[in-house]
Amino acid sequence: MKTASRIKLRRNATAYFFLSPWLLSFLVFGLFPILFSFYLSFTDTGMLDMNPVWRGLDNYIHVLKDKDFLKSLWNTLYFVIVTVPITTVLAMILAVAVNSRIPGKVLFRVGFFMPTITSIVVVSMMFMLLYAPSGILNAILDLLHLPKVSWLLDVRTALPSIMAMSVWTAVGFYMLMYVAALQSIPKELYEAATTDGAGLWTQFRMVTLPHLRQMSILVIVMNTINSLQVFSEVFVMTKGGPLNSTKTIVLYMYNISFSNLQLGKGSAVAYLLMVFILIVTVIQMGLLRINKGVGE
Amino acid sequence: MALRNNVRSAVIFVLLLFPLALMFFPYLYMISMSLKGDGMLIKTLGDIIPHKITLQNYVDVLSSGPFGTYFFNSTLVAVLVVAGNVLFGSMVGYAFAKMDFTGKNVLFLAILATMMIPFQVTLIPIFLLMRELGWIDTYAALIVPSLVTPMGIFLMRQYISTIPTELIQAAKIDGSTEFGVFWRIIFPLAKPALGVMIIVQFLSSWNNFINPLILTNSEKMRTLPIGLSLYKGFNAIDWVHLMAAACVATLPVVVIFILFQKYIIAGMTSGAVKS
Repeated sequence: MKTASRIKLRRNATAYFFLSPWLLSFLVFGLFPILFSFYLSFTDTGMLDMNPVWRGLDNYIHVLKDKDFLKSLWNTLYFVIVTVPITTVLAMILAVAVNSRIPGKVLFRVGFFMPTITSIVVVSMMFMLLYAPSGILNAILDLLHLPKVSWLLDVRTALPSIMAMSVWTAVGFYMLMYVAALQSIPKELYEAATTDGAGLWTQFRMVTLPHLRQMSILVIVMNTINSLQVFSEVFVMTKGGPLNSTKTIVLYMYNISFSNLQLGKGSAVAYLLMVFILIVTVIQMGLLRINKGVGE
Repeated sequence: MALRNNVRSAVIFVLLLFPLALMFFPYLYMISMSLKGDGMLIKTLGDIIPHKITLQNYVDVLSSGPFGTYFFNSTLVAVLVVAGNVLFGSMVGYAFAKMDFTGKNVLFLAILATMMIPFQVTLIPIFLLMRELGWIDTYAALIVPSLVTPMGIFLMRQYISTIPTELIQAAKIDGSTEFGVFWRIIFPLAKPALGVMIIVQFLSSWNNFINPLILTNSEKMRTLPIGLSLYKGFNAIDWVHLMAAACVATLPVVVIFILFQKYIIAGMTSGAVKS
């Protein structure tokens, strides 16, 4: 008995030695910040005032009543509702096309994946150039004798312009996830379908689509989570303007924390965002699973 | 039948060229702008191709501006973050893949949980922590929190699980210690996964925006993405230099990507799927 427990102790010691870099990092940069942030969200902590007073739910109430926050929430939701379906459908179509027997597959993969590895700041710069008042898009409109558009400077077009860029950026990544799913579909299914005289569209509906269901859930949930956290592109391109028309939840959080220096409120926004992401994810997974049940 | 298939492939190929062109166009436009000699914004479509090609914009950006410093900072941070993840990621991944220890399941759940929680939640406390430590505006603030990441651990755990346990046992019978096993068997055998890790971590560090944004405040500590975004702020209409700088920031990434595209795509999509 004694030796058994000693062996176990030694085994644990070795294992924890190997785990130690992560354990340390997890405690200091993971667990502690998560808990501390929760505490901060109930205090009036400011950037320069480190003697926080407990305020209960004040921060949450203040934020939820703040018109700016509600505007950011709406903008973010709008962003998700428009970009996620478009990106998903485009990614699926492109994946089916790229996965078919065509020459130059590598070229297409590289081309569509390129934005994923490009810094979002660089992507934002490229699109600011496209959207510039005297930039290429307006030059094209001019050529077609259409009125010029102020893209990022107009309340009506600023957010849609950034959403278009976001679709451009994300579509290749999700396309390749769909390609991976397509490649796991057994070839025999298509052969059987062809023998049964099923046309291309029927094959797509009866064989391809059902096999992409799992991946679609993943793509939609991942893309939604990412889109709910949209920040860098807005920060670089518009700083939330004009007139808060492109302000998102994370930009609101950044501003309230690092411009207004209200860290307590900022933490409350972070926690609201987390809860919000959790709710949306659970709802989506539930809905998509139910759909699956109905479909079968 | 074969002919019909060929016609179909040809049609799909041609149809795909249009979205592909949309993908490449912003890059080509950026490059073209960075080579322009006259520094003017494009007024007509014919101006996409520069009339006078010059590398002067690159010379200006690299010599006079602070971009040399940004470039150095981005490189230093990325290299050290990669090194940390290679060593620590495989150590921790090995423990989770091949060792039995008390609390294994709970700790693994902790890794999963940290991957699920949005990073914004930790942003403010990490900022405060760095301020307490006096690490604001130092390399340590940019490097230390990223030295070991859940994603890296995950990747290594998945790969090391596929290494046969018999190899480890045989080495132990031959008198090798756990660390010897790690160093002489696991580390060399995990090379393919390490390759993926090096690339993915390099890219994520190189392109990271929000951490250096809140954790640095002087010009000499800025990384490329921050430098670029601020450069834009000061010189909103200086497109030619801005685009030259953006090209400089993108070039290493594109080169790495084209060389290793197979591993990058596999690594990034599988990492995402598993998380």
